[in-house]
Amino acid sequence: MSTLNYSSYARANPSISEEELRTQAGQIFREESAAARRRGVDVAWYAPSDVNINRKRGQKAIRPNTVYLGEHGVASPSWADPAFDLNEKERVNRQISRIQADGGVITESQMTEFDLAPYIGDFWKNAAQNFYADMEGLSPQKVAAGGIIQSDENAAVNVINVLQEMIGQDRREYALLANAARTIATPNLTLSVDTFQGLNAYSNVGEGVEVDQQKGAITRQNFILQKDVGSIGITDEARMTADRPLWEIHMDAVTRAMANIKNVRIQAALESAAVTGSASSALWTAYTGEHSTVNPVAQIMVIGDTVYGNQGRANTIVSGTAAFSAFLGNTFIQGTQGGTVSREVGPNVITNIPGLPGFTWIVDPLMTPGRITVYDKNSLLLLEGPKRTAQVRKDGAGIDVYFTKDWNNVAILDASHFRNLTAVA
Amino acid sequence: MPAPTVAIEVPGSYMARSTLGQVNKVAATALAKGVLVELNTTNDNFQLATAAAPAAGTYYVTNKAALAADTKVAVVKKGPVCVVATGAIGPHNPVARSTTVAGRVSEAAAGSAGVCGKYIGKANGNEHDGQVLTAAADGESIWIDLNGGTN
Repeated sequence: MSTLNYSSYARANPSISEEELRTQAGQIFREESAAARRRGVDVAWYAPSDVNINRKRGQKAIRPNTVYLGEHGVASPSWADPAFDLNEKERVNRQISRIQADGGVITESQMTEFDLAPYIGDFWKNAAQNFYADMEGLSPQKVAAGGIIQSDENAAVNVINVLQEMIGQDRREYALLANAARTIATPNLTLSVDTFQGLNAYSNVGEGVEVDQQKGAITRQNFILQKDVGSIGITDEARMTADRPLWEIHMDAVTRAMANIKNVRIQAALESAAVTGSASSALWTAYTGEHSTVNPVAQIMVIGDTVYGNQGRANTIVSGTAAFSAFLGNTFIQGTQGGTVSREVGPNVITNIPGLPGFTWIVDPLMTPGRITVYDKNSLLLLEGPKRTAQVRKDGAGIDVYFTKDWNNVAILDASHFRNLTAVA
Repeated sequence: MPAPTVAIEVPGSYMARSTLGQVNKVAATALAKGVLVELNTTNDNFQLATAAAPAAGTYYVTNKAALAADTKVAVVKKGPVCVVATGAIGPHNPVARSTTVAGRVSEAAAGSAGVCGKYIGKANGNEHDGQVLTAAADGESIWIDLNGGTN
């Protein structure tokens, strides 16, 4: 608490002198402290109607048939001011009886007047008025009806218990995006890829024969990057009313949606019409007697040879879950390798494939079930172009808008480096 | 495997470039979010667009619900906003108040007086990503480019 500087306050307020200020402050302090002490008293002192005591010089006369607060010494109240006048109370009671005897009705305002009449002075009248207001439910602290508290009676204050986690959010791994393609940084929106068509040399040339010259050819194909855009917007009010961080949740969602576009783009490329070549495939789950009918490794190796013949190196396999499970359950795999690799549900990248050392098998439930694609990873390009993000504040409308842009594309460099096996599972 | 679940925009959704405002509302009638409202020139209040043939007027779309006791209602006055279609609406075709369901829109003849916007996309907001826009079906939530009506 700061100390009041009477002099400076009086100078700042010329209408009141410093002396008056001190006097008024002292009076307020005495009244407040006296009132506080009176509230703390727990003894009432009654002056009988036929007793006339303590008429000491300089003291106020004790009013007979009156209640005082506190007792000081013997037969003397602590406070000179009386609190409750029993004469007045008796007068009020008589008046009430008279009204009732005449068949009259006591109004609300009359009852308030009668209730407060015996109290002496504003201090005790106010205290009594507040007390009656509490009793009648007129004060902020109201009295409710009785009964057992039941769960459906206080719905307004029910505790809302919200699970911290939120379901429905995309939490998948993008195995294809991370592993299935060779990533090429592409600062320009167009990536040109040149292809050389080779030449042959002559063999078994006859003596004295001059051979003709041979030449190859170079062709160029262009891949154009596509623009993916994610955008979210939120009003100030929406931020202020939710008990979830809406903006952050949506930022996360839009980021994942952008990644999902690329993941799906890779899946579409791997299953596109360009990837048509297929070896004769058969169901890997078929049995002949006690063993599997088809040897998956043999089928995959036929494809691998085809890719090799097209200047590629088959090193990657992608499939859905069913095809890989059929592979692992095939007796040519189990029987020769004595077991299977362990894997988890969902996207997987397996490198220690039984019977296929050097291959990486990417399992993604996004792929068409029952089909595998064997290819040279170097021939599948993920063209990663420029990225731009911006957050725009429309202050007039109170809206924040976020844009994220990603230029990218997936390119099949040489479709002959891809081969399928369909309906293996 | 299905694609990630994408939320369908609810009627009354709008874009950052849409123009918003609050207008006087007809008394004693609640208005839902995402309905077409029209200006009643008799009492100068906006009311739920009546199910009737297109007519010249001022048409907005509510972006918040309003209680019967409310005197104002928040609306999108111009720009992209999500509403509900009645009947089939061809891609990019003009729309006007529905002839059969109050508060919705239906396809209107080009150049007719009551045109209040154009059908620009499905409710999942993919009209900008190069997808071919197909016709809207009856009861489908769609994006229209609201022009505010012809008055």
